[in-house]
Amino acid sequence: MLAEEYKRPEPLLPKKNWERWFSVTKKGVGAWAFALHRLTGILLVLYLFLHFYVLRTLTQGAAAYDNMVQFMESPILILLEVGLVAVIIYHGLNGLRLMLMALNIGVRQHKIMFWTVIVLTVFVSLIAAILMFH
Amino acid sequence: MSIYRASHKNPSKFELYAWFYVRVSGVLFLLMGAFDILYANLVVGRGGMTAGEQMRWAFFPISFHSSAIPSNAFWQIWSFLLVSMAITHGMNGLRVILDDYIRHPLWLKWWQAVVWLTWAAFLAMATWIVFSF
Repeated sequence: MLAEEYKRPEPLLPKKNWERWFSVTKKGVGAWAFALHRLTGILLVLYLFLHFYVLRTLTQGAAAYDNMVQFMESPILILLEVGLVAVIIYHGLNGLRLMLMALNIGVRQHKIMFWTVIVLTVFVSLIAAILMFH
Repeated sequence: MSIYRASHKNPSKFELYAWFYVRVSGVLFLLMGAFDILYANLVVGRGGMTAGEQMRWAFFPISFHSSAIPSNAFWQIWSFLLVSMAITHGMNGLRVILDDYIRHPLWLKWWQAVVWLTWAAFLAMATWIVFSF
Protein backbone atom coordinates (compact mmCIF):
# COMPACT_ATOMS: atom_id res chain seq x y z
CA MET A 1 0.00 0.00 0.00
CA LEU A 2 1.38 3.39 -0.95
CA ALA A 3 1.78 5.89 1.83
CA GLU A 4 -0.13 8.54 -0.12
CA GLU A 5 -3.16 6.31 -0.53
CA TYR A 6 -3.36 5.42 3.10
CA LYS A 7 -6.06 7.31 4.94
CA ARG A 8 -5.53 7.38 8.61
CA PRO A 9 -8.64 6.44 10.56
CA GLU A 10 -9.86 8.85 13.21
CA PRO A 11 -8.09 7.50 16.29
CA LEU A 12 -9.89 7.11 19.57
CA LEU A 13 -7.23 8.75 21.66
CA PRO A 14 -7.25 8.32 25.40
CA LYS A 15 -6.34 11.27 27.57
CA LYS A 16 -2.84 10.09 28.38
CA ASN A 17 -0.40 8.12 26.30
CA TRP A 18 0.61 6.21 29.36
CA GLU A 19 -2.85 4.78 29.75
CA ARG A 20 -2.32 2.82 26.55
CA TRP A 21 0.92 1.25 27.72
CA PHE A 22 -0.13 -1.66 29.77
CA SER A 23 -3.87 -1.55 29.43
CA VAL A 24 -4.19 -5.24 28.73
CA THR A 25 -7.76 -5.64 29.96
CA LYS A 26 -10.40 -6.48 27.36
CA LYS A 27 -7.69 -7.06 24.77
CA GLY A 28 -6.51 -10.63 25.11
CA VAL A 29 -3.33 -12.68 25.04
CA GLY A 30 -1.61 -10.68 22.28
CA ALA A 31 -1.77 -7.49 24.36
CA TRP A 32 -0.13 -9.29 27.28
CA ALA A 33 2.61 -10.58 25.00
CA PHE A 34 3.16 -7.07 23.61
CA ALA A 35 3.23 -5.37 27.04
CA LEU A 36 5.58 -8.01 28.46
CA HIS A 37 7.84 -7.73 25.42
CA ARG A 38 8.15 -3.97 25.84
CA LEU A 39 8.62 -4.21 29.58
CA THR A 40 11.32 -6.88 29.29
CA GLY A 41 12.97 -4.90 26.49
CA ILE A 42 13.21 -1.80 28.66
CA LEU A 43 14.52 -3.88 31.56
CA LEU A 44 17.20 -5.35 29.28
CA VAL A 45 18.35 -1.89 28.21
CA LEU A 46 18.57 -0.89 31.87
CA TYR A 47 20.51 -4.09 32.52
CA LEU A 48 22.89 -3.11 29.73
CA PHE A 49 23.80 0.04 31.70
CA LEU A 50 24.36 -2.04 34.82
CA HIS A 51 26.37 -4.61 32.87
CA PHE A 52 28.72 -1.91 31.63
CA TYR A 53 29.04 -0.49 35.11
CA VAL A 54 30.12 -3.90 36.40
CA LEU A 55 32.47 -4.66 33.52
CA ARG A 56 34.11 -1.28 33.98
CA THR A 57 35.94 -2.89 36.92
CA LEU A 58 37.80 -5.00 34.36
CA THR A 59 39.76 -1.91 33.39
CA GLN A 60 40.83 -1.48 37.03
CA GLY A 61 42.64 -4.79 37.20
CA ALA A 62 41.95 -8.37 38.22
CA ALA A 63 41.55 -7.62 41.95
CA ALA A 64 38.78 -5.09 41.39
CA TYR A 65 37.01 -7.50 39.08
CA ASP A 66 37.31 -10.41 41.51
CA ASN A 67 35.87 -8.19 44.25
CA MET A 68 32.92 -7.39 42.05
CA VAL A 69 32.39 -11.05 41.19
CA GLN A 70 32.43 -11.93 44.88
CA PHE A 71 29.84 -9.24 45.49
CA MET A 72 27.74 -10.67 42.67
CA GLU A 73 27.68 -14.07 44.39
CA SER A 74 25.50 -12.76 47.20
CA PRO A 75 22.03 -14.39 47.34
CA ILE A 76 20.05 -11.23 46.50
CA LEU A 77 22.09 -10.61 43.36
CA ILE A 78 21.80 -14.26 42.35
CA LEU A 79 18.05 -13.90 42.71
CA LEU A 80 18.19 -10.84 40.46
CA GLU A 81 20.26 -12.81 37.98
CA VAL A 82 17.64 -15.54 37.90
CA GLY A 83 15.13 -12.78 37.14
CA LEU A 84 17.46 -11.60 34.41
CA VAL A 85 17.50 -15.10 32.91
CA ALA A 86 13.69 -15.11 32.91
CA VAL A 87 13.58 -11.70 31.22
CA ILE A 88 16.12 -12.72 28.56
CA ILE A 89 14.42 -16.03 27.82
CA TYR A 90 10.98 -14.41 27.56
CA HIS A 91 12.20 -11.60 25.32
CA GLY A 92 14.13 -14.02 23.10
CA LEU A 93 11.40 -16.63 22.73
CA ASN A 94 8.65 -14.08 22.24
CA GLY A 95 10.90 -12.41 19.67
CA LEU A 96 11.03 -15.73 17.81
CA ARG A 97 7.25 -15.95 18.05
CA LEU A 98 6.93 -12.44 16.60
CA MET A 99 9.27 -13.33 13.79
CA LEU A 100 7.36 -16.49 12.93
CA MET A 101 4.19 -14.44 12.80
CA ALA A 102 5.84 -11.83 10.57
CA LEU A 103 6.75 -14.69 8.23
CA ASN A 104 3.10 -15.73 8.32
CA ILE A 105 3.86 -18.96 10.16
CA GLY A 106 1.48 -20.05 12.88
CA VAL A 107 -0.51 -16.84 13.11
CA ARG A 108 -3.58 -18.84 14.05
CA GLN A 109 -1.60 -20.62 16.76
CA HIS A 110 -0.27 -17.41 18.31
CA LYS A 111 -2.08 -17.97 21.60
CA ILE A 112 -0.76 -21.47 22.14
CA MET A 113 2.68 -20.17 21.12
CA PHE A 114 2.43 -17.46 23.79
CA TRP A 115 1.63 -20.00 26.48
CA THR A 116 4.47 -22.20 25.24
CA VAL A 117 6.80 -19.21 25.63
CA ILE A 118 5.54 -18.65 29.18
CA VAL A 119 5.95 -22.30 30.15
CA LEU A 120 9.46 -22.48 28.66
CA THR A 121 10.43 -19.24 30.43
CA VAL A 122 9.31 -20.59 33.79
CA PHE A 123 11.00 -23.93 33.13
CA VAL A 124 14.37 -22.46 32.08
CA SER A 125 14.29 -19.95 34.97
CA LEU A 126 13.70 -22.75 37.44
CA ILE A 127 16.65 -24.71 36.02
CA ALA A 128 18.79 -21.56 36.17
CA ALA A 129 17.71 -20.97 39.78
CA ILE A 130 18.61 -24.54 40.76
CA LEU A 131 21.99 -24.30 38.99
CA MET A 132 22.84 -20.88 40.40
CA PHE A 133 21.84 -21.56 43.99
CA HIS A 134 23.49 -24.96 43.92
CA MET B 1 3.84 -0.32 15.22
CA SER B 2 1.48 2.49 15.99
CA ILE B 3 -0.39 4.39 13.32
CA TYR B 4 -0.34 7.47 15.52
CA ARG B 5 3.32 8.24 15.03
CA ALA B 6 4.41 11.85 14.81
CA SER B 7 7.27 10.95 12.47
CA HIS B 8 5.20 9.24 9.78
CA LYS B 9 5.17 12.14 7.36
CA ASN B 10 8.09 11.14 5.18
CA PRO B 11 8.32 7.38 4.88
CA SER B 12 11.87 6.25 4.09
CA LYS B 13 13.63 2.92 3.84
CA PHE B 14 15.20 3.45 7.26
CA GLU B 15 12.27 1.99 9.20
CA LEU B 16 12.24 -1.06 6.97
CA TYR B 17 15.98 -1.65 7.46
CA ALA B 18 15.65 -1.08 11.22
CA TRP B 19 12.81 -3.60 11.39
CA PHE B 20 14.84 -6.12 9.41
CA TYR B 21 17.94 -5.51 11.54
CA VAL B 22 16.01 -6.15 14.74
CA ARG B 23 14.88 -9.55 13.44
CA VAL B 24 18.27 -10.61 12.13
CA SER B 25 20.19 -9.50 15.22
CA GLY B 26 17.58 -11.11 17.45
CA VAL B 27 18.11 -14.51 15.84
CA LEU B 28 21.89 -13.99 15.92
CA PHE B 29 21.79 -13.34 19.69
CA LEU B 30 20.02 -16.61 20.29
CA LEU B 31 22.41 -18.55 18.04
CA MET B 32 25.56 -16.86 19.38
CA GLY B 33 24.44 -17.23 22.99
CA ALA B 34 23.63 -20.91 22.48
CA PHE B 35 27.00 -21.47 20.79
CA ASP B 36 28.83 -19.69 23.62
CA ILE B 37 27.14 -21.71 26.36
CA LEU B 38 27.75 -24.98 24.51
CA TYR B 39 31.38 -24.04 23.83
CA ALA B 40 31.94 -22.97 27.42
CA ASN B 41 30.63 -26.28 28.67
CA LEU B 42 31.88 -28.77 26.14
CA VAL B 43 35.26 -27.34 25.20
CA VAL B 44 36.44 -24.97 27.92
CA GLY B 45 34.84 -26.09 31.16
CA ARG B 46 34.10 -29.72 30.27
CA GLY B 47 31.21 -29.61 32.71
CA GLY B 48 33.33 -28.25 35.54
CA MET B 49 32.05 -24.68 35.47
CA THR B 50 29.65 -23.15 37.96
CA ALA B 51 26.57 -21.50 36.56
CA GLY B 52 27.95 -18.03 37.25
CA GLU B 53 31.26 -18.79 35.53
CA GLN B 54 29.33 -20.22 32.63
CA MET B 55 27.19 -17.12 32.18
CA ARG B 56 30.20 -14.84 32.46
CA TRP B 57 32.18 -16.91 30.02
CA ALA B 58 29.29 -17.21 27.61
CA PHE B 59 28.65 -13.52 27.29
CA PHE B 60 32.11 -12.05 27.65
CA PRO B 61 34.41 -14.89 26.72
CA ILE B 62 37.83 -13.32 27.17
CA SER B 63 40.72 -13.82 29.52
CA PHE B 64 39.44 -12.35 32.78
CA HIS B 65 36.47 -14.68 32.97
CA SER B 66 38.25 -17.93 32.78
CA SER B 67 41.93 -18.50 33.35
CA ALA B 68 41.67 -21.45 30.97
CA ILE B 69 41.30 -19.15 27.96
CA PRO B 70 43.76 -16.43 27.08
CA SER B 71 42.48 -13.31 25.38
CA ASN B 72 42.51 -13.59 21.64
CA ALA B 73 41.35 -11.60 18.63
CA PHE B 74 38.59 -14.02 17.68
CA TRP B 75 36.78 -13.74 21.00
CA GLN B 76 37.37 -10.02 21.13
CA ILE B 77 35.71 -9.51 17.78
CA TRP B 78 32.99 -11.97 18.78
CA SER B 79 32.32 -10.06 22.02
CA PHE B 80 32.40 -6.76 20.25
CA LEU B 81 29.86 -7.97 17.69
CA LEU B 82 27.61 -9.34 20.42
CA VAL B 83 27.69 -6.21 22.55
CA SER B 84 27.47 -3.68 19.73
CA MET B 85 24.53 -5.53 18.21
CA ALA B 86 22.85 -5.67 21.63
CA ILE B 87 23.29 -1.93 22.09
CA THR B 88 21.93 -1.16 18.64
CA HIS B 89 19.02 -3.55 19.11
CA GLY B 90 18.13 -2.05 22.49
CA MET B 91 18.51 1.56 21.45
CA ASN B 92 16.41 0.92 18.35
CA GLY B 93 13.78 -0.53 20.65
CA LEU B 94 13.80 2.67 22.72
CA ARG B 95 13.54 4.70 19.51
CA VAL B 96 10.44 2.75 18.47
CA ILE B 97 8.91 3.21 21.92
CA LEU B 98 9.51 6.98 21.74
CA ASP B 99 7.99 7.01 18.28
CA ASP B 100 4.92 5.21 19.58
CA TYR B 101 4.18 7.31 22.63
CA ILE B 102 5.54 10.83 22.13
CA ARG B 103 3.16 12.90 20.02
CA HIS B 104 4.80 16.31 20.22
CA PRO B 105 7.35 16.58 17.36
CA LEU B 106 9.83 18.71 19.30
CA TRP B 107 9.87 16.43 22.33
CA LEU B 108 10.23 13.50 19.96
CA LYS B 109 13.26 15.08 18.29
CA TRP B 110 14.82 15.84 21.68
CA TRP B 111 14.44 12.29 22.99
CA GLN B 112 15.58 10.82 19.69
CA ALA B 113 18.76 12.88 19.99
CA VAL B 114 19.23 11.52 23.53
CA VAL B 115 18.84 7.96 22.26
CA TRP B 116 21.34 8.48 19.42
CA LEU B 117 23.89 10.02 21.81
CA THR B 118 23.44 7.21 24.34
CA TRP B 119 23.92 4.70 21.54
CA ALA B 120 27.16 6.36 20.46
CA ALA B 121 28.46 6.60 24.04
CA PHE B 122 27.65 2.94 24.71
CA LEU B 123 29.35 1.86 21.53
CA ALA B 124 32.48 3.80 22.48
CA MET B 125 32.43 2.28 25.97
CA ALA B 126 31.99 -1.23 24.55
CA THR B 127 34.90 -0.76 22.18
CA TRP B 128 37.08 0.53 24.99
CA ILE B 129 36.28 -2.33 27.37
CA VAL B 130 36.44 -5.16 24.84
CA PHE B 131 39.69 -4.06 23.22
CA SER B 132 41.45 -3.16 26.47
CA PHE B 133 42.36 -6.81 26.95
